[in-house]
Amino acid sequence: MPMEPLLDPKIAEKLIHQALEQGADFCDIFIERKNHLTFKQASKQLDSINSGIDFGLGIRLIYGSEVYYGTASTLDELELLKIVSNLKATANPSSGKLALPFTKTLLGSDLGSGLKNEGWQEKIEFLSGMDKHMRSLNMKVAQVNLNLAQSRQEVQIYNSEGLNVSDIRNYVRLSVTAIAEDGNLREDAYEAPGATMDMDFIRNLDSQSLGEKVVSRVLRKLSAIACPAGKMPVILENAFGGVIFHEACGHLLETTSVQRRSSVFWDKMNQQIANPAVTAVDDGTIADKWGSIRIDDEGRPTKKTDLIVNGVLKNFLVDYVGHLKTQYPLSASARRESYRYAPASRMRNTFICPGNFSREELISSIDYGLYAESLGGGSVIPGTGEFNFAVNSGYLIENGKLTRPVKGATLIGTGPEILQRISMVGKELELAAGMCGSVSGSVPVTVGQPPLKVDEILVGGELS
Amino acid sequence: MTDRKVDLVLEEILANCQQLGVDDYEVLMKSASSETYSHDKGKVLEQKVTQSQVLGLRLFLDGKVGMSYTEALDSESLKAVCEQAMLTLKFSMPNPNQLLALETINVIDDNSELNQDLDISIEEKLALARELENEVLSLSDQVKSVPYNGLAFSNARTFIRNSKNINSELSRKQVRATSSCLLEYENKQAFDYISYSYPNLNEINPREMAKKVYEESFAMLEAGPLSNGRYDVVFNPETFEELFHTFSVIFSSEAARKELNPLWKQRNSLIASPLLSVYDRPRAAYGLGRVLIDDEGVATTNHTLIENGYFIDGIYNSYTANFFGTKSSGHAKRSPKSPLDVQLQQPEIAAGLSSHAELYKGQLLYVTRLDGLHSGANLISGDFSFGVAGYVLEDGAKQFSFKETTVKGNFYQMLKDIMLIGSEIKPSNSGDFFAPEIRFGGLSLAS
Repeated sequence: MPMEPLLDPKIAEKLIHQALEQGADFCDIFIERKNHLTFKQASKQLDSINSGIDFGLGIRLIYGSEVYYGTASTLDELELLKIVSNLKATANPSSGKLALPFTKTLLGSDLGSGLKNEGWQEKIEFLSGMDKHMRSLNMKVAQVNLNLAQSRQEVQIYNSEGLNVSDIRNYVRLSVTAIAEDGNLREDAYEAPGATMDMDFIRNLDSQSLGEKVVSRVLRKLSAIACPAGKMPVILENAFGGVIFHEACGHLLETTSVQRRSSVFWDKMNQQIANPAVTAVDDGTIADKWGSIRIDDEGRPTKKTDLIVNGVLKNFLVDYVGHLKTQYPLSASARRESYRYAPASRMRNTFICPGNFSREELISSIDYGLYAESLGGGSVIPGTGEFNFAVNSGYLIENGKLTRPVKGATLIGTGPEILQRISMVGKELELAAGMCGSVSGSVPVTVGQPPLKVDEILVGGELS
Repeated sequence: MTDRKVDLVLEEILANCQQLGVDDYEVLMKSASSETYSHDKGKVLEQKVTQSQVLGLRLFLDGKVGMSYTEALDSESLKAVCEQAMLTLKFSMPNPNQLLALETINVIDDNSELNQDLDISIEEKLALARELENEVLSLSDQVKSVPYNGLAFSNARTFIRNSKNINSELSRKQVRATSSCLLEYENKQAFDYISYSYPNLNEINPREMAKKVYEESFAMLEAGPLSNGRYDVVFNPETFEELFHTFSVIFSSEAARKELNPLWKQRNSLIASPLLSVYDRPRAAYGLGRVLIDDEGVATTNHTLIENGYFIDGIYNSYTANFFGTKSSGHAKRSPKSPLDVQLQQPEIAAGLSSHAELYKGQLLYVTRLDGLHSGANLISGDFSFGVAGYVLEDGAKQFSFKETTVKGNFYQMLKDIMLIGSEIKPSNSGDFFAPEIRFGGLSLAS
C-alpha cells in the first residue's frame, strides 16, 4: 500500500513558493512521523515498556550557500508560512527562481510488517528466555540487562526542484549487557546487533549464541590483566573494529568538515592517504543493514561510494550544501537524526574491504603487541585528525601467539598516520551496528572491517 | 506554543485521562523554542529556529504503570497516546513501588532572577554571533578556521499535572556562546573549543573567548608526548566536570535498583579521602541549574552526598525511594519520552584549605582536555583510559604543553588518592557545577 502523504502537497507548494519569493535559491521540507516501542528487561523481570510518536517537520531555505532552518510539530498552514517568513536572509535580494511542480514523485511502500501493536507477549517472553539462559551459564553472572527497541519512521521530502518522495524505515535493535562479579571484582560486556528490519530480525537471531558470547567475554574480563601501555602493533578484530576507520578517516571525509577546510584531508583528493592495502567504501544499499537507507534525507536514492581505493582518496561524502561549497559530486548520504536537524553529510555502512591474510597470519607476524578483540566507541577532532577509541577486551600477543587476556585501554593517534600504518588486511569482513553523533544528531550507522594489523599505535594501558 | 494552546492541550489530555478508569495519572509536557546562529568566514553557516513540544503520560492502575508520549498534539493524537499508555500498562509487570509521587508541591517558577532580557533583534544576534568568529580569525594568519562558533538562545518550559491536582510550571531562558580555533603552522594542526552558558547577554565576551581558544590551541601546536610515568594531576574545571559526571552513577539509586551501582553498598562507609565533601544544591540561586521541583513535581532540597570522605546517601525519585524504603530526595529525572530516572541538579564540591601555592607546589600536570570519556570509562569497575592533553607545571608555572598521551586510572581509587583541595570554588562553563581545584596523586600517563 502506498503511504498517505504526511503533508498535503498543496501546502508544501505554498511554503516553497513563499521561500523562493523571499529570495531563497532552494527550499526543501522534511516531514517525519516516527513510532517508537522499547521493552527493557532488568533484575530478572520486565522493567519497563515505553512507546511514543515523534512528529514534526523541518523547512530549509538556502540562499547562495547560507542555510536557514526552521522546525515545527504542526501541519497548520498559517503557522508553517510564519516559520518560512522568519527564515528571511537579511542581505539577500530575491533570487527570482521559480519552484518546479512536483513531478519527481516516488512514494515508498510499507516494507515488512513494521511496528504494530501486536506480538508484545512474544517480545516479553523472548527477553525473559534470553535473561534466564545467560544467568544459567555461570554463577558469576550478577546482572543481565536487555533492551529491545523498535521504531518505524515515515518520512516525506519535498523540494523546490519538483521532488516529492517518501519512505518508511523500520529499525530494530537488541542491546545485551552482562555484569559478572568475583569477590570485589566487577566487569561488564556488551553487544547490540541491529538492522533495518522488523521482528523477523530478532526471530532469526541466534540469541543463545549471542548471550553466550557476551557472558564468555565478561567472565574472561574478570581474570584479565590490565592492558600494557605504550606504542605497539595491534590486531583489530573485524566488525566493531571498524570504529578505527569510522573515527580516524570516515568523519574526515564528510563535507561537513571538508567544506570548511576543517578536515586534514580537505585537499587530498586523488592522493595516497592510506597504505595501499586499504580500500574502503561507504555503502547505503546493503539490504537490511543498520546503516542502510533507500533514500537519503534530501530525498536522493542511496548508493555505494568508493572512498579510498588502494590507499588513494577517491570520493568524499557530499550533501547538497557540501556540493554547493566544494563542487564534489553528491553521494546521497545526507542524513539527520530527526526533523529537528538540518541534513548533513554522514556515513551509512562504512567498511574496509577484505584483503588476503588469514587471522593467524596477522597474529603470527607480531612478536609483542595487542590483539583487540572487543572494541567500544570513539571520537575524532576532524581539524587535527586526532582520534581515540576504546578496546574493551583482548589478548596480549607474545612471539606470534595469543597469550594472556587483557582488558580496558584507549587507543589514540591521528587519522593520517594510522591509515598509513594499516599494513595487513584480513579476509573475513564483518559489520556491526552503532550510533554516530555529529552535527545532524545521532544516526544509525554500520562500521566494519576484516581483522587488520596496525603496525604501531599508542595503547593507553597500565605502566609496567 | 502560546499559553492558550498549552492550556487547551492540557485540559484535553486531563479530560481524556479522567475517562480511563485508572487509579492515578501524570502528565509531563515540555515545550521549547530555540534560535541558533553560526558563521563560516563571515557568511551565515546556519541560522536555525526550532519549536518543539512533547507530552508524556504515565498511568497507574492496580500496581501497574503504563507510559507513552506524543509530539503531535491534535485531538486524535491525544486520544492515541492514552490508548497506547493503557496498552503498555496491560503488559507491564505489577510493581508496588512505582506509584504516583505523593510529596509533590505546586510551583510556578519563571526563573525571573536569572531570566534577563534576551530579546534583541535578529540583526543584533547575527552581529554578536559573527563577532564570535571574527575575533578568533583576527588574532593570527595561522587561524585556519573557526569550525564551531555561534550563539544558541533557548526558552524551555515544563508543565506537570496529575490526578492529585498538581499544577506546576517551570520556565528557563538561556543563551549559549561557542567559539573554537583551528590553527595550522608548518603542517602541524591544533584545535581548541569553548562553550559557555549565560543567563543574559551582557556577560558574553567574544574577545575573551577568542583569546582563550587561541592561546590554548597555540600552546598545543608545539605539544608532544610526555615521558611515561606517574604524575600528580589537577584537572581544569571543564575536564573535571566531565569526569565527575561520567562516574556520578555512584550516587544513583536507579542504578542501584538495577544492581549497576558499584558503591551503593558502601553507604555510611569511607569511600574517599576525608578531605572530600560533595553536595547537590539545586536551589542555589547562583547556579544556572537552579530548580525548585524535579520532574515528578517533588520539591528539591540541598542534599549531602559525601561528607569528609563518607558516602552519606545517594539521590532518589519516588520509585527508588519506595524501593529502598526512604523518601524521594527530589532528584527525579524524566523527559516525557523516557522512564523515570534520577539526576544530580547542581553538584558542588566543598572548598578545601589549600592555597594556590600549596596546591601547585612542585611538579604536576594540569589537564585541559580528556578524549574518549564516553567510551574509555568502565562505570562498573571505575577503570578509565583516556587521551589527555595539558601542561606540565613547576610550582604553578607552565613549563611545556603535552598531548599524544594517555591517562589510565580508577576513578573510585582516585577519590581516595586526593592529596589537596583548593580553597576557592569555581563554576564550570555550564554554570551548574561548582568545584575547587583538586590535586590527585600518582596517575599513570603513557605516550
